Amino acid sequence: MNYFLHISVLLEIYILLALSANQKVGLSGLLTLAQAVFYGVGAYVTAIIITKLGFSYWLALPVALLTCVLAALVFSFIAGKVRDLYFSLATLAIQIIFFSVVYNWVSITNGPYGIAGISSPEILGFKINTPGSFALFGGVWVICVVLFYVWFLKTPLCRMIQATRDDQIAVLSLGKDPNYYKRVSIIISAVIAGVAGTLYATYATYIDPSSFTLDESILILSIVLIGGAGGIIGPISGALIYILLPEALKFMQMPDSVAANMRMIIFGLLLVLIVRFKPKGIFGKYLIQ
Amino acid sequence: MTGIVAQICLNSVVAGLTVSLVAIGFTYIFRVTRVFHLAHGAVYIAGAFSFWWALSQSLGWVGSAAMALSVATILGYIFEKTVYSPLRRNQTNQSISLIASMGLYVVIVNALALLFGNDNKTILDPVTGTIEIGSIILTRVQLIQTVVGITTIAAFFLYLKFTKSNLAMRAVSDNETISKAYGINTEKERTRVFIAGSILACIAAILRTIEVGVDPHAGMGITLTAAVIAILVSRLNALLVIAFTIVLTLLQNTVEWFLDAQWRDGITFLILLVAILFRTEGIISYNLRKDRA
Repeated sequence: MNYFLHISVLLEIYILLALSANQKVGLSGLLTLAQAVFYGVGAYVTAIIITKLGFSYWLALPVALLTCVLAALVFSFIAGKVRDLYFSLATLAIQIIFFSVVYNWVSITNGPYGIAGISSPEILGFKINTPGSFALFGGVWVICVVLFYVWFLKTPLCRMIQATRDDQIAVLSLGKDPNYYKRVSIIISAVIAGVAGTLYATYATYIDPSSFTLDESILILSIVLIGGAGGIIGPISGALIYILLPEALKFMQMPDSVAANMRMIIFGLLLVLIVRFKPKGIFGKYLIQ
Repeated sequence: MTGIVAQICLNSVVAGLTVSLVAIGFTYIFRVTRVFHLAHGAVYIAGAFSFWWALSQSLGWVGSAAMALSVATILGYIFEKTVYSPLRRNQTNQSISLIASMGLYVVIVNALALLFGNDNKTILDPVTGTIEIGSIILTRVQLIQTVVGITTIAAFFLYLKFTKSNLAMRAVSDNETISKAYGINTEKERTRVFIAGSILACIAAILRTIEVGVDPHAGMGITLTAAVIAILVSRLNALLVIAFTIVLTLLQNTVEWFLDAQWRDGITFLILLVAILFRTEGIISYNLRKDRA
């Protein structure tokens, strides 16, 4: 039962990450290779505030999200300067710079040794430190974000974000600033990824730089592209495929050591096949061009 | 101190020569086909593992190198024919080929990890010995890397000089449609550049394997360095690629010496970021890019 709950928590974290990446990739058309940066910023700020300053999760959360917003402003500056492949490459550069900083800034992040002993959140004296309570807590966050998107996708703001994605010149001709809509989109994406980071840090109670690498960013992007970008169902189904794939492999009596690589082979193959034969992804609404 | 500086310079030139083989391949593929070929790292690693495996099966140095080159060539050819070429026919953009390339990289690297394990593999009978020139030490492996590196680059230049391929590749790089109209077989040129790039990457992989061995994840770092060079140079000029690679390697080794090995990638990509944002047309080129926001 505990294992099932553990899988549920991981699934919730990846659903949040996929929805956050979908905000950039699917709604804004910004192909990012640095979603793990926001995930990492959320996790590290939470861990530092809880372990080094001794504050609670509920104080760490807004500070972490505010830091994510500041990081998002850097990204929106880049999005205002370059687009397409060169935006992706700029985000790739930021991802690697972020990893270098986190890895080497030992006095703050503890470098490769990571930060241990991150205490769990508490609600009205009830400590969220079991897989069951965490699954419930993560589930609440997922429901909040999904409900937000059910509402947000129908708003005029979201339509302008999508219009900026589809035809920037047309948005300019309406007297609107495309960079403003990109900025809003990147900030929303950063905040959701930051929430996933705070959840991960408090659930794992230990973080190190290896969780926030370029590989992780590629993985998050792949989840969105396989599930399909632009809607809500696509990213969620992508996260489901990624998390449940190893379980299916275990069902086929595959040992864990083989299953880890096999999962990535299947995932990589799916990515190539999707791009080649079903560019919108399984449940996607937007064709990345 | 002078000795240390000279040693760092020598090490950088030798390592830079090896990395420049990957960078020339990456730059030519990127400029001619417009594919940001991250799976170049997978070709590199597949070549390195083939060489290591063949050597462990007692196929000898020449036999192992031949096998590695065959594997890399076939892989480069398959990538182009089964993935990139159909994507281009569907008129997809560079971002899509980048995603496909990431998928190919993930598949090959994990397949190799599954076959050979995630640990570093070193060759059983390594080349040992050093040559001392004053206060500078040159290992025999470095000597082999220098000789093979220079020979390969010279062969590549001869290929460009004495075949029509150089002009054809430049034409395709400038404008594929007009190149087709003038009778250039663009498909053939694309395939050629993928094969040439894969061979160069494989030679670099062999040269690195005899020095430090190989692990399945070693391809991404060197490919990303090659990608940085391709963006900075922004021209189809192998000499410039070599010069930039040696300067970048010198900078990386200096950073590694004075700060920490982990800062080298950070500094490399900081340069890339600054170049993308403030010198968007690359450091050498004077043509403004068309994809500014």
